[in-house]
Amino acid sequence: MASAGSGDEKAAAAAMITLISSDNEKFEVTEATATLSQTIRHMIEDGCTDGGVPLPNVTSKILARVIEYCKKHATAAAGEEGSSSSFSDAAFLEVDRAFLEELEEFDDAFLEVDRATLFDLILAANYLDIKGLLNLTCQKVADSVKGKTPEQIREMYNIVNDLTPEEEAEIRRETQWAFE
Amino acid sequence: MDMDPPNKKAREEPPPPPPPARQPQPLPDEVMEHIFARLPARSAARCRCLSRSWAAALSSRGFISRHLDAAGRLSFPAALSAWSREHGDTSPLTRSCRGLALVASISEGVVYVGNPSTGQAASLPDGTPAAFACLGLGYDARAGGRHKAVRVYYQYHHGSGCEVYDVGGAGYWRPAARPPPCRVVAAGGVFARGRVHWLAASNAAAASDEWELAARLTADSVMSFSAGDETFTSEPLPTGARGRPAYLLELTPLDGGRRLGLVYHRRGRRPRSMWVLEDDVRWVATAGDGGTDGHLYEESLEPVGRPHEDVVFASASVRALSLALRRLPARALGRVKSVSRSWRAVIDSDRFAASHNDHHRRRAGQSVVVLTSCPPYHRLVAVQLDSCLASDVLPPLMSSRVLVSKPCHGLAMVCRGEWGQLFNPVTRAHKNFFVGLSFGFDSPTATDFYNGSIGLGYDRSSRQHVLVLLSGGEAPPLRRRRLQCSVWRLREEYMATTVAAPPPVPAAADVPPVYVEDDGRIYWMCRSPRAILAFNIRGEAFDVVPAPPDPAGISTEVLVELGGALRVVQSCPSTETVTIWAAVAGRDGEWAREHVMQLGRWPEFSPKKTAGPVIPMAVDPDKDGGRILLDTGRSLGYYDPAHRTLETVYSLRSRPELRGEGFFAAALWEESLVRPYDRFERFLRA
Repeated sequence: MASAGSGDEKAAAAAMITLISSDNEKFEVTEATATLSQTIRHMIEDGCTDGGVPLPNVTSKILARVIEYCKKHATAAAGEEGSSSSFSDAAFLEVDRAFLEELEEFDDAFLEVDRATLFDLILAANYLDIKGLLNLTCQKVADSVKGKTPEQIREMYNIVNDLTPEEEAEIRRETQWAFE
Repeated sequence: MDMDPPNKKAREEPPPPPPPARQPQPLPDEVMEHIFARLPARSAARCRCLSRSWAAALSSRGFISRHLDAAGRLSFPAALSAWSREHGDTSPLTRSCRGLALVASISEGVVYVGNPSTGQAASLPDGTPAAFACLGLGYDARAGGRHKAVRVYYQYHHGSGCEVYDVGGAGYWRPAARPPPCRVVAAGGVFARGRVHWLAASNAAAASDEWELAARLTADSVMSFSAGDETFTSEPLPTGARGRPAYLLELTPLDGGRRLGLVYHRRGRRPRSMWVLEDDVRWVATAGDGGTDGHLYEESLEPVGRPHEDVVFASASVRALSLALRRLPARALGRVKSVSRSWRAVIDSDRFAASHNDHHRRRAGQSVVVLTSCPPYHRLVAVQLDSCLASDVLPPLMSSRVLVSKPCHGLAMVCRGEWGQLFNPVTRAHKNFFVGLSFGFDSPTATDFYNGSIGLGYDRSSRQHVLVLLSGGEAPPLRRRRLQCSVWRLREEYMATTVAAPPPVPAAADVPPVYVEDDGRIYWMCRSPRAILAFNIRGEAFDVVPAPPDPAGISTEVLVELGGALRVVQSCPSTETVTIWAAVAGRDGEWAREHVMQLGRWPEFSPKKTAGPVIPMAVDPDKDGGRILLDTGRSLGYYDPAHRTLETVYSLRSRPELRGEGFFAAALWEESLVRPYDRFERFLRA
């Protein structure tokens, strides 16, 4: 890049995007953070982000969490690019590893939410098309179900068993292939 | 009053607007509503565009009810027939019940609740698989009123059951409190006096679990299901009708459903007899020509609710859950279906099956199943290769080599003789179809039996699987037949074909065609002239691609799909070589040798020794250079092109007791809950 230093900073400062939640709260984020969402990236590319990006499917509570995730992972992405292009010595790999560990810890802590929030995050990640967040949240739910009996799942998710014994027997007959 | 002399002012100023007194007084809303209630349903529905408040008023339950009652109009179902044209082959299952009726699309095997006068329809879920099922539609007048579809079914070995679907409700069937006391002998339920009535045979209730054909033929009672409290009652038929063949008896609603009538159509030209059920207990004979309501429909604005999958996926938490659950393998999902009705509805839905398969298809790492033919009926059973390796028990083998297509959006196809089978290797659901097409019985061998070739593909625009049948190919040479191409979009029509333009060259009947997902084409090998025939599923058009060279002309050529692209595989018995050709990118019609495998060192894989071609099934993406999985019908092995080594994975050769007899069919396993368009068969199955 020809321009460096202050010029870049200025460009970065200018490239702020306003996201508007369903309850009309406004969030200012950098373009780098916002473009983790493919949906917003396409909107930026099409030049329709002036005056803010309304997100009628996402509440402010969830949007704040999503932005928190994107900020963290946008820095991570920037860090990875920098290290791979210009540095490759052991010291930097060490830094990278530490950073990845930190990122993992962040992800683990990020998932410490109640079920309703987790489901809302899945829907927001799907709507905004944020691959990392969708993977993270969906995998959490999938892992919680995997290997569990229906009874354990009902308990975990507070689901009332509305199936009659006859219906359960019928399901068992229909899905014999899954139990062999 | 402030009135100017008219003459003077008129010259100077534009004419005044007509005085308000000359405009008609707006009618009171109640009167307007009375007028709207007398309009046909579609006209009344259009008046919802008048204003926000009229939209609300004309959609209210009260208005819909008043509109229905206003005149008790019956009409020929014009909208229904328009809807039927769109859906191909629909047939009404029930008479009209307060504006709605159940209609079945025979090809799709799907039942809809429809409003014949507005033309709206919403699909119902399948319900419990059964040997025999009959439906009825009732109306529960309590609590604002709600339509209920009722399904009475019989299962071999498990007896009878009854389930209810609330129109505008949860989107799935729920069991009724009690099973039906009698066996229904005529399918369509008739709604009258708050109940759904069927002709039934009460004596059959105590009979064995097996469906007795005799029980379907004669009726001795009327079984009634109350739409309100969901209980059954049964009333004997009048003596004149009892024990008569069921097809001569007909239940009919009278006076707009206020009474139930029974008609006995006597054989020949004798006049029919008719009875009316009085006070729910007493049959009274009436004049034989009493007018029945026939198959006319009420004009009604009654809403049909949303299609069942839309209802199930309407909730945000269900949508989130389904995004997470689709990551699980099919077997794990089969095991958690019994968490609740909602979970079962999600996992059973076509929408979830497609999304689940999409998710897994995009990820590499397909495993292999071994298909074997099991008695009874020699149905195909898929066994995971791992469990074949783990167990010492040999699966039952097939007497001839069978080639299975690669999984295509969760389904694979196999053709054996005149029968084809579309199946899901995971759930074992399958649909059989006849491909005999009566093109001749010249040769008894399996592959050129009908002198044609059938390919499985997927139409991405309409999201359904497609079978493409080419017939009238080259062999046998004695009788050259006209080339034909039939395209069967599996969801659209049952056992019906649409004929596309004929292929420009005949396809080789003994080489299975190959579908390549990335370019949406099915490819066939052609021998005279030597070429590759490509069929574009979306455009339904053929083009012809030159084949790679075969200088000696003695190789067996097959087409395969490897790594998302078409490959031509030449097996040469004399040199014991298998050559894989790949198209050169950007150069139309040019081919380059991708792999040349000298297999003489491994007799069980040598084209000299194998029965039929050596098929490269897949490229193992994990290994450097990509190991190629080879299938001979008796052995499976990985060929490593970098080191020119071959590792046998599974082989019948090590079983001396077999003495060279029998074959398995290997197929790739793709995570899939996709249903092989088997609704119609499922409905008939036990």
